[in-house]
Amino acid sequence: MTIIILRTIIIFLGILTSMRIMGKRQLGELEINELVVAVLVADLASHPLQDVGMPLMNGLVPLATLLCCELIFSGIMMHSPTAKKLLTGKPSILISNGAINQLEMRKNRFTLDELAEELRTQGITDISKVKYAILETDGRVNTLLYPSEQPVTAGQLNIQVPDPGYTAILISDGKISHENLRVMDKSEAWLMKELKKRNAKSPKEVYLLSLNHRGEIYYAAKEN
Amino acid sequence: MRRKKTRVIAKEICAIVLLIAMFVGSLYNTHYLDRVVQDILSSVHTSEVYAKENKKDKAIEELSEAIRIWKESSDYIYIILGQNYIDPTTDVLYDLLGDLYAKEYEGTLGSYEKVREQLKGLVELEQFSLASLF
Repeated sequence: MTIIILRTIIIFLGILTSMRIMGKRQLGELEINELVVAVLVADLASHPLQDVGMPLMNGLVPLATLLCCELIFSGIMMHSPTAKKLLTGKPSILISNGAINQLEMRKNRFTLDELAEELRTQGITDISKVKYAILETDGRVNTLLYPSEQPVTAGQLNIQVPDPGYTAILISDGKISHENLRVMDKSEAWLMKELKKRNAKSPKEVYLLSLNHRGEIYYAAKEN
Repeated sequence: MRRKKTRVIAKEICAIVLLIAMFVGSLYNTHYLDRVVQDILSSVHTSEVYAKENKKDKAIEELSEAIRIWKESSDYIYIILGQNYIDPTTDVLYDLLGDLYAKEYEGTLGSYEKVREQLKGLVELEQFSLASLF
């Protein structure tokens, strides 16, 4: 068992290091330590399931070891910015003030095609409109457009926009959410009255009923 | 807010405690396996001494004791090592017993050696060394 625990820790650290060297592009919206656990867990759990001669402990011990490693590493990263920088790296600025940082692009092995693809997923087709593009530590690219290219907000136009507040689902697929009724400060009797107004005899006939803080109700009857 | 932060730290402390507990458990396992193997080896050794003195009945009796110890602890050993390591050990013990019934001392020498090596191999599997780690 000692060997299993130590091997798991070594493999965890080994994959963590190799992923760190491979760079952020490999991550796909997971932090590096989360990805390592995700990569290992599925495989670890399957072996004792397939081989009856193998004790379940051979799967459970590494699983628990990984859980401990993940918790300890994420704890260390939370409390120490230096450790976080060391383990996950720091965000890379791919476009700074409208200029493509070619050195950072090369460092992260990011091609122009890939950058353009990332921008297109955010609805940006013209690279010259981007003031900043930052490759985050989890592999996502966040962008900031030039002010002239940013969508106009209601505040900039001095328009008063009604705030609908929080919208809670009160009936989902025929089931009442009593917790949401409490949150919205409504009773079941009120809900039944609203159903009656919409010609529904019981919550079972409702697919979706939601309510926002302005008292607006969205109603969808269940299809037969 | 402070309670939330304490809960987060408590999670990490739990993880460290669990890791330490697993290490302690694994050390106990190694110790247990070592003890069982030493008990069996001791009975096997006594059996060999009797066999050498041509006291076949006593040799069989001692080896049966070794088999009894092995069978009693095999449930626990299964949890540590698995069936793949239990079966070969049971086989070599019964092979030796068969040889003791059928052959003279000289004919059983190889089987005694086989049992010893098999049992030592089990302990080595769990003992920490660079070779076992990598």
